[in-house]
Amino acid sequence: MKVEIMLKIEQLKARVKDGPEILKGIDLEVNAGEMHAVMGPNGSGKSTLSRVIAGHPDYEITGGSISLETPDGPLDLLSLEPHERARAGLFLGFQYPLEIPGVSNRTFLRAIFNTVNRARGNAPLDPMEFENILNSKLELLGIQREFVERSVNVDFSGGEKKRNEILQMALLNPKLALLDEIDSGLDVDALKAVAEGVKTLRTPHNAVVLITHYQRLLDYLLPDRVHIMADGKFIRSGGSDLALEIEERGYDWILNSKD
Amino acid sequence: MTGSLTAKTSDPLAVFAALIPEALEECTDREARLAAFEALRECGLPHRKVEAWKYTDPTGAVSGPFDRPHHCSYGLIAPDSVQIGMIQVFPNIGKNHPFALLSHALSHGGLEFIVPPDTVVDEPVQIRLPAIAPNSLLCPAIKIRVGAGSKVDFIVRSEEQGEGSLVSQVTQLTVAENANVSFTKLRSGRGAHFHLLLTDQAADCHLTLFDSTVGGELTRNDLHAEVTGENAEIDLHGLYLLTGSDHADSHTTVEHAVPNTRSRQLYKGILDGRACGVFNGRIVVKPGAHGTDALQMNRNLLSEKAKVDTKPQLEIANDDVRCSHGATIGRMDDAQVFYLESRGLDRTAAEALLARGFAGEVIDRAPAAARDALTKQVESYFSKK
Repeated sequence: MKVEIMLKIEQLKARVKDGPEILKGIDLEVNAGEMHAVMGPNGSGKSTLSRVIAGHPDYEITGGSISLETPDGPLDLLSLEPHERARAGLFLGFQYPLEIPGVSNRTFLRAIFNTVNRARGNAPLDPMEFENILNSKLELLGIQREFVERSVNVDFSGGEKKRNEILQMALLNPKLALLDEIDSGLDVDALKAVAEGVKTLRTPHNAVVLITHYQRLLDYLLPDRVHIMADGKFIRSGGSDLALEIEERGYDWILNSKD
Repeated sequence: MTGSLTAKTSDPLAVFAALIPEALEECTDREARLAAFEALRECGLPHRKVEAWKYTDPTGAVSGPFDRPHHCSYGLIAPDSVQIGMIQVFPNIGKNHPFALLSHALSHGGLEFIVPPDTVVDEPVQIRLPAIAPNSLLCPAIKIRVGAGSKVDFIVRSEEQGEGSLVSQVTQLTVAENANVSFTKLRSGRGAHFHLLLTDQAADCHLTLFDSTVGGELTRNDLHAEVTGENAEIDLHGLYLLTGSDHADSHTTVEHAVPNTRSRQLYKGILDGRACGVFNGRIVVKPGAHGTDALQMNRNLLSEKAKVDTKPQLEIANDDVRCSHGATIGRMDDAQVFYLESRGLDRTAAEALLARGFAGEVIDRAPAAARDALTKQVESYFSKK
């Protein structure tokens, strides 16, 4: 069977504009159907990596490349604006999803769905058709209907915000989802619900990169590959057992043994 | 130099004085009109050196000359339960508001509405001001008296106004005990628009005022609310959506004259281009008006070159009151914009969605009866952007 490379990052280097370098040469290949986890202590550059891939304007790329597989061949993400990356099939799940007061979740979800759907060459849906799709995603993820009536993320609990990220992911149907600390600030039930959501959305044709500090998310989602990040680099990559080792021994043993 | 010398010595009221003779034809209150014009001569037209007009200079807007149409006809939709007539006595507006005095002197007459006691008016009363041609002058007036225990909604639209025109409107609204009243004014079109709205409220009544301004070369809304009945409540909210070099000024005064009254104010503005906004919110708590509960908030979303002057004024002659005010002036939040961009919306679409959301908070407080009309007016702003 042909292995399809979904995301390819080569020697990626980046810094905060006019600041010190944070990413110091990242290499990563994620194939279709795979789930990867990027782990590392605070300040190792994990969140920067996800934001740089999504095109956050605060960062400057100082070297390397990122390409995303599309039906028309690999696409150079670094040449695209953030919204173009999203339309091409990239999704970033935020560690701290933003609140948008005054905009109902339904209005927001319909706006992003229609925009991305149109950009991918599909015919626009009438409101009823959208409502059907929305309902099917709510059901799939076990989310209450009242969720869509509220303003986007306003007065949502931590768990609700993260589930709303997963709902957006379900609607936008990305080829590659980067989920930044999707497990932070969640109690066990919320964590399970979010993990179930991610599991449900996995197919052989998409891929997921989890960015996490703790191993506990990986109790529910078993990654194919685990990468340990420190000081802007991947210092070790391995199978899911690597995550268990981190859980048992902490990060120090790797950090100290890397030389 | 000769030009500026001429300007200094010429009478700024001459353009209006020229219109007085025709305004006096067929009118029944000749003396009162002349007295109003005399009072205007005494106080003079306002300019920047007058404190209340520091941020809004009407000089350009009143330079004229203006055509004054002889007749004006209002568009009106009103249920039978509301009594409607022509104004017999011009609203008592005092002697110190220049545009109200101008409005009286050159009045085009006006409409008077009486809602009898214990009447629930199901459909809103809708009043449409006459269309104003460019460089014309219109001085409309509205008087409303709502009887005890009644419920009614008013919507006033001033939507067709040409460049260089001038509207000077006076509205007086009197609400009796236990009544529940809303008054919404929708202003769009060009030209200059001055509105003095005076309200007074008896005990236990609820009044909601909503002022929406979309565009316009110059808009000045003076709102003076007297809360004179115990347990009376007033909500005053406003929205101004401006572009280009539009200018809108909201001056509100709420006087809490008796114990246990409540006021809520939220004014929000979105200013694009080089637009200019002014909010001056004055809350007065009179001696003895303990238990007053007054909140005021003004929030603005600005583009780079737009400008807002916002100023709260609290005058509290009492203990045992709860009064608070706040103001924010901000630009688009880059973090929110990036969040939306990461979902596929381009920057323009992201900013438009955020702006709609920003306006949404105050639109949600508009009287239910006016919501559809207001939403349409607001859409006209966003669809042009």
